[in-house]
Amino acid sequence: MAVGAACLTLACEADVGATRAAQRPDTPDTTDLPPVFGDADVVETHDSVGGRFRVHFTRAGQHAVPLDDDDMDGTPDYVQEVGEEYERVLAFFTDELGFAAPLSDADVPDNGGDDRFDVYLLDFPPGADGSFRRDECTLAPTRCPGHMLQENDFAGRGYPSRSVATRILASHELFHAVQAGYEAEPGVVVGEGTAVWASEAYDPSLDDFESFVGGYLSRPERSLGQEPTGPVDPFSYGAGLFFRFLEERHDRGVIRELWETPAPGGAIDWLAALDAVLATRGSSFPEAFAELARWNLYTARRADAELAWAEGAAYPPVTERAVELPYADDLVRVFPASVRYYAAPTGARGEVEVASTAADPANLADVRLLLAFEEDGRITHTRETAEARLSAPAQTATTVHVALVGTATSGGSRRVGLCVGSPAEVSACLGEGTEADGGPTPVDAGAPDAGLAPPTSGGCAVGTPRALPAGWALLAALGLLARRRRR
Amino acid sequence: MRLILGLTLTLFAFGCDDGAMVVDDAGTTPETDAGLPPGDSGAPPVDSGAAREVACVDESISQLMLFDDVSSGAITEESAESGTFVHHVDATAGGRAPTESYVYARFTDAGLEKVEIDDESAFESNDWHIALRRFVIRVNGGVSGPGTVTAARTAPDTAFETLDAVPDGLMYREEAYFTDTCEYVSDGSGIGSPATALASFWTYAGCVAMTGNVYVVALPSGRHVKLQVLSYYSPDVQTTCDESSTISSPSGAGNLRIQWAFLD
Repeated sequence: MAVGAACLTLACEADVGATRAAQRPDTPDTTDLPPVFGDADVVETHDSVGGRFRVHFTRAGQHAVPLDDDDMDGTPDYVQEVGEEYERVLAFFTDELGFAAPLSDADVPDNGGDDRFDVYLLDFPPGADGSFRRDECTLAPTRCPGHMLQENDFAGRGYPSRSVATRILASHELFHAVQAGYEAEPGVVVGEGTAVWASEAYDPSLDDFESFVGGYLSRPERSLGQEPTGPVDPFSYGAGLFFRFLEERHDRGVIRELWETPAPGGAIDWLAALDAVLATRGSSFPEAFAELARWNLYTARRADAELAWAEGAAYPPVTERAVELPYADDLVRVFPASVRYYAAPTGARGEVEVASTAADPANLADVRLLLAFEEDGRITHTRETAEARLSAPAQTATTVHVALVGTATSGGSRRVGLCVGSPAEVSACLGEGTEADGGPTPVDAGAPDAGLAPPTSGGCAVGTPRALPAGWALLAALGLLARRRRR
Repeated sequence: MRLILGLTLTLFAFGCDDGAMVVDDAGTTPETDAGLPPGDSGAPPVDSGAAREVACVDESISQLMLFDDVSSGAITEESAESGTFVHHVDATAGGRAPTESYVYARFTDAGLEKVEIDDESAFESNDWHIALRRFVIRVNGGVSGPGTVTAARTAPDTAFETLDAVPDGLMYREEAYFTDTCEYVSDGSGIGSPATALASFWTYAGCVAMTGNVYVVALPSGRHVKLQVLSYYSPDVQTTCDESSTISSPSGAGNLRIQWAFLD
């Protein structure tokens, strides 16, 4: 697992230093960010029956827990429920998934009283309802014990029930504690993505995962290796879909092995580490990611459990650019671990071709092409290649989906040109066969950026649309086609 | 941490400042880039076709979450008295996690005009002066665009209404929220927003409060604009935020109101 630059916890966000330990929320005069207990709060503890968790709570004031005590044993039922839920979650993570338990806080001076994992129930401000906070950490790799802060009553938080909220929070946040035992600064995308995945693995009936996957499917052009620069965003949570893919396509062990794989470096290195894990299964990151790109076309009404996601019908459609054929773009930025999708009516074309181009051939090496054909809401057939050109018969399909799949694990964007249409239209787009004798014209290696037919002056320069108008092939053949050039 | 999406930002310590700056002699006119649009004539934007290549575009696209579709956000003039304009800019961009480009605009004698351009194309365009999305405002220069627009914060006690000339001693900044090696520079707010030249128009202590800072924006034409951001939320919510650090819902977040006027 790579060492990332981002933080997962409020404490971390408040203090850049990797070894800065969060204080406990009942520490007198704590300087940690809210929520924390006040001086007047009477903080009690309850130890879970399993013996591995201590729940800290108060019965009065802003942070008061629900006081129902049906069994009249003197401890609020909800506090006991929290303790038992964490016990079940931890057993699942360790016994079912094979992860190591969170590091013990036995050696932490301010450790909640003993070596049990501490869960503090507090009233969170709007916008958050749980947080794993790190205690003292080791360096290189950064490994930390920690403790949990969880919303005290979930009042007004929109969950179906307090029990559901607790299951979601316990499984999500405790997985951050598990992560911190391997690497406390893994990067936000892999950290939050695997936490959302873990929660779904623990209890598939929870809808947390399903509510987040749109965060990824709405921005497939964004790199999985790109950390958010602001607050944790829907994309990072939605990245849980990628880890669900790894589970469905391979097995759950991939995620555990990913966390067990040391790979010092930048935040994006988790992709390289994953590549190594997949190699043990005869696959690779490029192979897996290209398959994910195809699977993501099988969601919503196009779902097909035989060919892709088991629960794809519950996922929203992936975001595509709606275009008309023929279509060309002289500069598409394809970032590592990202996909650019396009959808277009096939029209009367019996065959559809896609070509990627680049003045620098190295830009094409990590960009795969995918064609998928749709009829009546179903994907009828697909083709994909690691080459720069791909064609397939449209058959009776009415819609063609095109994807540029960035399979690199690091680096900047691969800048490519894109031509889509019938084979003749693509040939024209590439500047082939435009000589008077009908012979092929080599791609202009000197063309800007992408190697498409060069821009021309003349009456076609207005607007520089992405989707080029009818008669485009003729214009291209006549050398009259203006193209958008972007840096 | 597990955030509840769709709600406002919460927590986080804060402390914006204007950071390092340079660029221009105080009170002097920035070098005019020959061939750039006049910027204040009210004439339709004309792309010079000779845009400077902007550094760190890849990083900008991926880290600022930029898009290649034009924002749907509108710019509406709310008042124009004695040369001072107040404009509402719909910079909501789809919500807290933006799904749209910035709203690009240029200052003209007729008002703040929207430039119909998307984020990626803006890196090749001199047509715009200022870009707005949520609580981030960029100007067209440095790593933000090929232009030469710069901005300076005036002295803390400067009143927008009485500022009638370009003050001496201003330190103009071009956008430099990426380093020379394209490392991201955040504004110190704790929430990771970029350290833009105008980043100190807000501060955060539970909500996006207005600082009231007054800025001078130097345009490529040589003219200067005085500018103050009045609100990020709906006006009444902004008042509550500024006074009590709390907001009510709906807050109208992302609806920027700015007042501005040419100084010369």
